[in-house]
Amino acid sequence: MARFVLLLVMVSVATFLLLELIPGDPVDGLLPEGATEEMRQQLIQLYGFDQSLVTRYVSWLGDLLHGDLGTSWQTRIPVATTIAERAPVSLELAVLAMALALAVAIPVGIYSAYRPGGIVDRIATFIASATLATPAFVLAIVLVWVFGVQLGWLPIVGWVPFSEDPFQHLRAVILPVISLAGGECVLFIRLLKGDMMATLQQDHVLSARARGLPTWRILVRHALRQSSFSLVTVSGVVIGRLIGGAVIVEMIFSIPGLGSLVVIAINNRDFITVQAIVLLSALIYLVLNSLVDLAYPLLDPRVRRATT
Amino acid sequence: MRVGRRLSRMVVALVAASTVAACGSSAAEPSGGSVPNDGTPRQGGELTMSRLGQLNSLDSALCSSSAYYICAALYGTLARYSFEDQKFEPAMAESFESADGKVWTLKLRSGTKFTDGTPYDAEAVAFNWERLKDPALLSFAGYWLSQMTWKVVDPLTLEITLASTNYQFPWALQYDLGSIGSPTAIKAKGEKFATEPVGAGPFVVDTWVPGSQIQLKRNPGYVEKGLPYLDRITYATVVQDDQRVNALRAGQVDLTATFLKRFGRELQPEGYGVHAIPLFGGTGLGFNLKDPIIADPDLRQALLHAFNAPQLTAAAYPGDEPPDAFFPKNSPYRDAAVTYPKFDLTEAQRLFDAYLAKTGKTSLDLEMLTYSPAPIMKQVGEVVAAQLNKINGLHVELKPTENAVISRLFREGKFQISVHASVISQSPVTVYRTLYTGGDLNVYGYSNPRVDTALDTTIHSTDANEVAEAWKVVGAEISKDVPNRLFAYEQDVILAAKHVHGVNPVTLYAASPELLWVDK
Repeated sequence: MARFVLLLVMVSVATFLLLELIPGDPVDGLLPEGATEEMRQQLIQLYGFDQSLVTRYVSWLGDLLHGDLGTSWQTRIPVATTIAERAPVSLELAVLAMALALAVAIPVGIYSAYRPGGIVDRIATFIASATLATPAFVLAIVLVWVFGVQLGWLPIVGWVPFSEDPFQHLRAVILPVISLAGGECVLFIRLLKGDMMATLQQDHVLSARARGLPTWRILVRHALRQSSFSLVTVSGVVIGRLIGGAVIVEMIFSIPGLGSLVVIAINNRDFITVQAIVLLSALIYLVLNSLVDLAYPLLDPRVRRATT
Repeated sequence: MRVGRRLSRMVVALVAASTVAACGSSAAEPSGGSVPNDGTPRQGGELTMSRLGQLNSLDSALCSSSAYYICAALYGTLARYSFEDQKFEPAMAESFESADGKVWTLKLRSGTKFTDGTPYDAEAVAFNWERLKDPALLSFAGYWLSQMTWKVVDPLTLEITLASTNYQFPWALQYDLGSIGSPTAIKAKGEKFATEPVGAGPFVVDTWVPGSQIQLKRNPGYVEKGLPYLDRITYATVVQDDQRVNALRAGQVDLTATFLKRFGRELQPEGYGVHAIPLFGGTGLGFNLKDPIIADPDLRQALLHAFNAPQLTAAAYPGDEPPDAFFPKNSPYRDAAVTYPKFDLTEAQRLFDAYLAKTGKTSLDLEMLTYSPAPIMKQVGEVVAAQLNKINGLHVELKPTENAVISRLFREGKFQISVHASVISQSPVTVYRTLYTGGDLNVYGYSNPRVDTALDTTIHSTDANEVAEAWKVVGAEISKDVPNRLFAYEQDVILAAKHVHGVNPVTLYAASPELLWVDK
């Protein structure tokens, strides 16, 4: 727990310092066109930019510990309110993208490992090579062109909240989720296939085969769990990245998530919002990595025994 | 071409605008505004417009030209500039008149109410304008507020006194000062007013997904009878230009906007409505005339002769006209005898060598700023730097720089050359602020008494011929002095599906929402 808190403090300090190192005064990014020097000085005093860095950091941290993330310099809306509106959107996208990626990757990865060089493996390898060389935003643009513009099947504009219209909401998430899941899915297939192929060569698997156990049972019960270490580890990192960092896909589909918020905040030099989002992202990473650590003993009894 | 025709109309409109404002636009009876002449408007229906970005705050304090699309919808605007009729007309105000261009009488329509039921009166206007003085609100109205006072004459009348004569004041009534929020709601809601706005405009918020889309529905109590035509209007954010046009072609939006002229050229033959708003100024090379090196006119002439505009246009703005003077070729304000220095590398080298000999230098290093977040500006900067570096002995270093830093460097006058957008406005007031000696947007440190006098005329006079002559002087002098060497004339382009009518295009990338209508 102490390490957890220490890491968060380090992230907060680093974020604060990094933003401080960006050239230019934050006030310059806020001032409207033609603002007077008097107005500039008033803003400097209002937001405390005339105080030392340490004073500002301590003040921000103090507010943070009281649950106050501050108020956006640009919109004058509490940062916590904005994040609360947008975080569920990013979380939903990340979870759906992960679910889709895993739903495709696990069966394909298992079968590719079971029949290396087979038709499924060769198709998966071809798609993997093509997809790994294609950034998510390119995939997104292709999907928009095909399914939005040419076929007109799916919306490419606007985000409809689930509470407003569940059907339209699902239509709106399809293309972004596929865009996000594409690259991750390929990564998962390759990871799982590699680990599975190694596991399938181990004695206990050969023994299971010799005992005449059904193939599906050998693959799923005996090989998959042991081959999931890399997959689980990377999944934790990926979902953290997707929650806070699906920037380009969010921008392309105009999705009101954290990724697009951080871009807007950076462009507007709304550093108080940027700090809060970075800190939240760090917190998510730390929590997910902790969960990944906790999952290892569940996957392999040998780890459980070693830790007890 | 339609664009060219509109350009001519536009520059004439600038004169007309001041004339109309001076004579006073009065509307005895509340009525619908001037509807662009493309059929008989129909009531009902809905429309979706895609936009590059959206505000995260709907506070009326942030209303300006960049927020017109939403401000005009939620709050209305006191005045409305009709692109078709080339004049200001009353909107939320019943009239705005001035006998001398200095003291203005603003009369509001009787019976106007905010959607919370409170009166939209002179006290409400005064309250809103007073509120804009708070620096934390980041209002764009500072320019006007610093040179005006006002008093409430009666519940429907305000008297506004400007520091000096300015017949272009109605632009402020459309943009920075034009949107009035309910004082009761502002006081009661505090910071929540940014997300729960209360105005008296033609629409009210129905649903809002910040950062994605906002859906508005008709305000049945809107003061202009018969308006708005639409039952609903939705503004959806689509960041990429290509995708906005794709969405229009796919029928997912009905209206969109771009500054890329090529989309207009592509879509017009396909039957889409293309409404281009020619703007003053454009993107170009700015010179800091207060920099001791750049101040040398021979050196600037050398740089201007080394600049190859047609080559840059072909590379960065294919199909566009390479600017060769402040006003384009089809502008009535253009003095054909005065153009920017032409590309002539030999002459550039001769002038540069003379500069070196005069100053005793053997070589010269210069810095050129460009906006780092915009890839196109960086690419343009690289081309320009390469062109200038063909002068032997000159080294121009491109410095891609973050927007806020450039703003500071401009304000402090700490730059030499910059690649940036200059003026770019429908309003002549912006030209005044940018090119007048000591103007608040005059980052060049430019000063020319002839230009100052001519610019004064553009805001002081109501004589159309006199104003036109003044603009000719401005164009000629700027093309001669070249504080900013344009390499792209800019315009906003509104693209509309065939069933969309009533487009009154307004900078930036907007159309008056109350005038839009659709075929059923």
